[in-house]
Amino acid sequence: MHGEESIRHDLELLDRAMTRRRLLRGGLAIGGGALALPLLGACASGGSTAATQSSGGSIAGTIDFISYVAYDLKFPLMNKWRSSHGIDLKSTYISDQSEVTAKLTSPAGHGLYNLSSYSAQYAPFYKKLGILTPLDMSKIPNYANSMPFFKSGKIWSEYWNFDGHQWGVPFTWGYDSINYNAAKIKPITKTSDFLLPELKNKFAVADDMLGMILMSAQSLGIANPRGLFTTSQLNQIVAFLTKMKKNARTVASGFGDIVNLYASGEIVANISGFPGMQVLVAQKGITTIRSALPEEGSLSYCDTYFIPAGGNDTASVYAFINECLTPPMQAQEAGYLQAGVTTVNGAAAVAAPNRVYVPYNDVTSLFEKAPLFGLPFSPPAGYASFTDWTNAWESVKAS
Amino acid sequence: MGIGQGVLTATRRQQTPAPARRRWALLLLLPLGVAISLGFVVPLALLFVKSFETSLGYGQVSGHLTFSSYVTALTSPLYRTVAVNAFEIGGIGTVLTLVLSFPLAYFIRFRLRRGQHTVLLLIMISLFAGYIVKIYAWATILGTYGVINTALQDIGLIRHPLSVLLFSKIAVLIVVTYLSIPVSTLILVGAMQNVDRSLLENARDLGAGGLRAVTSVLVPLSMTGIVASLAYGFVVISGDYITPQLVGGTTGQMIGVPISDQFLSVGDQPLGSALSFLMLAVFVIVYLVLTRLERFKGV
Repeated sequence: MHGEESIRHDLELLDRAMTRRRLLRGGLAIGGGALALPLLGACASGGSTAATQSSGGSIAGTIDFISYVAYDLKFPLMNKWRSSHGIDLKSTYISDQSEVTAKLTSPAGHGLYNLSSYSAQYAPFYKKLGILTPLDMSKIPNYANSMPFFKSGKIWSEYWNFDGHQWGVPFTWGYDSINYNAAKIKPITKTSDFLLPELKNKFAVADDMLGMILMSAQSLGIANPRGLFTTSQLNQIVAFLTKMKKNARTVASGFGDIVNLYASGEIVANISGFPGMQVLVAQKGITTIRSALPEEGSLSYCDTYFIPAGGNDTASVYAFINECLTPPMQAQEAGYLQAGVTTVNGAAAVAAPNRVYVPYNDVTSLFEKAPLFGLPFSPPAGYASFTDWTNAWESVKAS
Repeated sequence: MGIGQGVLTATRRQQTPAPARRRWALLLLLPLGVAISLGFVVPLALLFVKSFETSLGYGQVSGHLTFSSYVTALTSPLYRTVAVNAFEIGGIGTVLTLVLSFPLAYFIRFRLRRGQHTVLLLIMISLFAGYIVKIYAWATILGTYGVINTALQDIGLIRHPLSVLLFSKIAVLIVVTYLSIPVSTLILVGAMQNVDRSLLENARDLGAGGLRAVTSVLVPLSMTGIVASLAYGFVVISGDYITPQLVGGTTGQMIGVPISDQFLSVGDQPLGSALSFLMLAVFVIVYLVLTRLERFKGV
């Protein structure tokens, strides 16, 4: 792609309505790529195989991938590894997790893909739908080097390893933050600060349903780890968010859009966001953006590779997953996705500019303040479902 | 081929029976018919069926047919609010587009002695620029520190930037009108090409003023183009879901956004399809009403 087409492509990536993961595409388009390039250059000579435990055997084949842009990790070091092992990559990109659900549950989509990803909380739901495959962990030896949070404990047994099998491999994670321009306003420390009159027309609300609902629930003191709200509680959240929206300058279509709004001086704060936005806005000349985890708490996310049921040619997929857990690849991934990596050695290899995205020194504490909330796909009677959440967010936007 | 032979061929063509000519015409139209069927009718039919399926949530559907999506779409205050907003912006934007593009088309068709084709080419070139790029350009122009606010402050008309210029219904109206003007102008110029300049001159000779000549002669004779322009503008503007997201702020939400969200975020394809078909029904009704305007043609 060249010239205007390229710009258009970047803008489209940046400015379509985004969830957090869609942000990754935007971040990649203007920030992540730029940030990663010097690091890629620095690391390109460091081959990944030295630190890799080989999964053995021939791994040549085709990876038929379906997930978000950038989750196929098409950075130079990984590209080099794939081509050196004769692995082709065919990618289908989505804009929301529901597209994976729809594709993999339709008869036409069965067997078409051999690599995908799910947000951690989707695991029980996907297991119920029969679209997960139990993983042969002997083919992913590098998983053993994962941080304790990702290979043991309660969350691990809820989202990655249950019913006697490992169903997915967590590879990227992060949390939702609030951001503000420290040169223009005093620090914002709470979600409820966005209701204050002094911020009227000065901040952007991200079109991020999950982030906005769960951060509001935290602020209202009604959040619970399973993500269950009664209808009355959901109405409380809607009222809170409606008030906040009326105080906002705009509902930004995506995080990339918010970066541009900071740069053009239209806003001095935003909710929700992510710590990497400091870096993205700094690339546009404003170095005073600061991130904060709200005092009331926030939420985390963790995306997980899995092999869809019916997927063939899995030797190359196992090798790919195993390879992405090596320290050199993890170091690249952190900059490429502007997020946290999951292995101990990988985290140690992440370069300083890319360490701002997550607090590697205190992962457990972070997940306590910003839990991986459950999502109500099949809530008990009397509780709002995930669809109710999305409708609630739509009503806030339309109010 | 000699002249005599040519005349003979022409004569034979004239003698070709009407049914045979119709068969040829149908044969020539066949590729277009196939393309439209495959690219438009079939997907639309599939979407129509989808609108009656039952959503199981999260992108899944069952084959059980029901009206529930239509009931939701018609009874939910949420969709009513954004639909009204969309049709309001669509209606005003369409009229604005016509008001601005009609004089431009008139100027190109009847006032420009030379360079008509160059101007039309420039208008077409403007269509090649990316849609989102153009919206972003307007965000820059309308912004707090944008060209308009800066100019107004520089000449002393305002002390503080007008925040209403961006992230408002006004911003959406300005952008959608701007985006619709080129196509609308091309449609109107095309319609005016069939209007003989001498008819306007005759009207002037008979004592009509410039405006009277236009309203009494040009407008009726261009009615087909005016109707096409209005229909085009209304459909494109009311259905827009990118512009409201980028410059609409907290008040400029339109129905296209929730439709898009049903497909991309919520995963309720039947509801998204039902909303789309209800929009389509409104567009068809508006089109039928507009075509009644053509009765004024040639008055």
